[in-house]
Amino acid sequence: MAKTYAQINEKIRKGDAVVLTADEMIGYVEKHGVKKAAKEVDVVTTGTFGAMCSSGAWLNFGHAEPPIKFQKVWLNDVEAYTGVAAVDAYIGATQLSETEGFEYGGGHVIEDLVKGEEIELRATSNGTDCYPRKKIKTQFTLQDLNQAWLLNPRNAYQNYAAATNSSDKTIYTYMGKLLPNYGNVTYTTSSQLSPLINDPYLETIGFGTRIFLAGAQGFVIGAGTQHNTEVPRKNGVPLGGAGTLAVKCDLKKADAKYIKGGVFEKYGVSLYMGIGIPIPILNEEMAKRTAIKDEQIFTKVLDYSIPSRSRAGIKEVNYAQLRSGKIELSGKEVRTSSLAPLETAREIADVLKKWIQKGEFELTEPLEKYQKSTFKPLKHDVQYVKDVMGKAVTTGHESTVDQVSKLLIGRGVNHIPLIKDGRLDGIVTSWDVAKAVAEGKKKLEDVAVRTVITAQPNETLGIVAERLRKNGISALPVVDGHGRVLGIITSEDVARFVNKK
Amino acid sequence: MTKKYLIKLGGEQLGEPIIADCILATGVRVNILRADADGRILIRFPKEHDTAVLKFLKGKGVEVSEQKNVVKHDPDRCVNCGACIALCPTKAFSFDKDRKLVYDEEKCVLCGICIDACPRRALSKPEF
Repeated sequence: MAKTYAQINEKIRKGDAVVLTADEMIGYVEKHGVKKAAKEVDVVTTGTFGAMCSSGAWLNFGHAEPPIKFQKVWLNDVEAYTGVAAVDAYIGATQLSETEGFEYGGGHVIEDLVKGEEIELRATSNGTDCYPRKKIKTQFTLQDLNQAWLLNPRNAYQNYAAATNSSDKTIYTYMGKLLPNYGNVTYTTSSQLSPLINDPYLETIGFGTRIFLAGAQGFVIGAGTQHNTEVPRKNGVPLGGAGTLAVKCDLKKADAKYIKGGVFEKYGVSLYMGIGIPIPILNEEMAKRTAIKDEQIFTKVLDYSIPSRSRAGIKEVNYAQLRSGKIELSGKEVRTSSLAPLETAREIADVLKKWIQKGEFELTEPLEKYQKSTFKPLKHDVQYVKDVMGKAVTTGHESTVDQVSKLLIGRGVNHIPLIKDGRLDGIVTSWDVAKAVAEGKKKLEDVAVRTVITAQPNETLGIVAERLRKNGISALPVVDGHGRVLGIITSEDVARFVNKK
Repeated sequence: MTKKYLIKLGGEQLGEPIIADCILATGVRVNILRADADGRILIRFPKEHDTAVLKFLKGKGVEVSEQKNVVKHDPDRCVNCGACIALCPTKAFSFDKDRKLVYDEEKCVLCGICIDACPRRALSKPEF
């Protein structure tokens, strides 16, 4: 039996609505089945609390006397964007302080505003006939502003990849501190409690959906930036970042408990944002989807030491595994850490539940649903190894030093990859051969290098140039995923291309 | 609470197997929690053996002091994200059943690996 938004709201107004959190819905469906759940349960509340960098606030300061048209504006030394009329400015969460660097930024300004603290406003201008003032410095609090809208272009990512680091040094990322040699794994979603995981096809969420945002009642104002509906799914849920929300609320009504600045060492600052979305249980399908459990929700573990936008997934894991505190990676036990506080996500789902039970929050049917959408990479001049690499001259281990020296001279190359059973199994250079002659060695195995540093065809030239430099070598065999040699890229190839540009 | 002691070895002592000698002489299972190249060693042992171990070390002219310092956790700043949990080599951090962060100070060896990983700057490190 299907329900409508109007019927659910009628029950909310009468105080009769049955509201469960997404955590509670799991147990309910297990006990009573999907059919009964669809009939009895009206709303399932979700929650998430995590660092959401694509966040910020539009602020209107009112006019000074004489008035100024801001051309540059700083709030506690954090620059805000003011490329609109006179005294509006957007303070972005990740903007860094010009005096405190990574330790303070836009996210902290917003936290301090919500806490009611005084903020220093500093602005400059060229001065015009209508706005004669050239600079101003004053103090203000959130309540002094005319408008303060929290307006976030991309929040509440539907799932997100977990992170690890295969390299031999610690790296610092927006996924936190990642220790060398798969030293740890970090992940960031409220999984079975997460809004867009409980409505994975966004059937009830769209423009106009009323939500819990940073402790206030706010709205979804459309699909977020980078919204992607085309990510492969498992159990209905995309395997990694996919759907996103653009959201808005009155910052003056926000609660400091659900909006806090954060620092990610050597990456920058961000803003912890609390979001809760009510899912109306319109039919059995929604009942089934909101009962999804951590063990049914999968994500990929990505290696963040790969300096590319397309990092390979090392492993697929579910959130029950991640939340257990350890997973198995590359043959060893690796400890896992969440970056998104689950305790606060639960609290948000609970607060939203109470609002609805008390009749303080009614559901809205989206005015416009989400459209199909993909996330394209930036169009720019990027050169790949496969475009520049040359043909490799190869041989096998059975060759002698004498034969290899003839091959080097005859073919005019300095590097010869060694092949065994069709796969790369070493490399010999003109230097190795010169050394063999000097030391009187005849057998190739005495001089060949067995551990070879390689390149892949889809790597960029910049990455490969850095690898050549770091290892102090002059060529890399290009191999496919099976170790088959596709070509060779030398420092001359890279230099030639750079010079051409 | 079992105490932790900080030993500072200097000069000639740096080449001596002092902890090994201490264990052999006292029969106490001294646990080395941390050892730095500058000669500072953090140790712990069952508290009923305080007298024996300290007497031995002092007898060898080793500088020993109780180490009370630990990484400080500010629960007011903490958001219970758990970023510190998987980093700590001695597993001093964990979640309780409500996913609130629990910090067992006794396990802290002041390595400081957690400090810069805390997005809320809720952890701070006194001198080792």
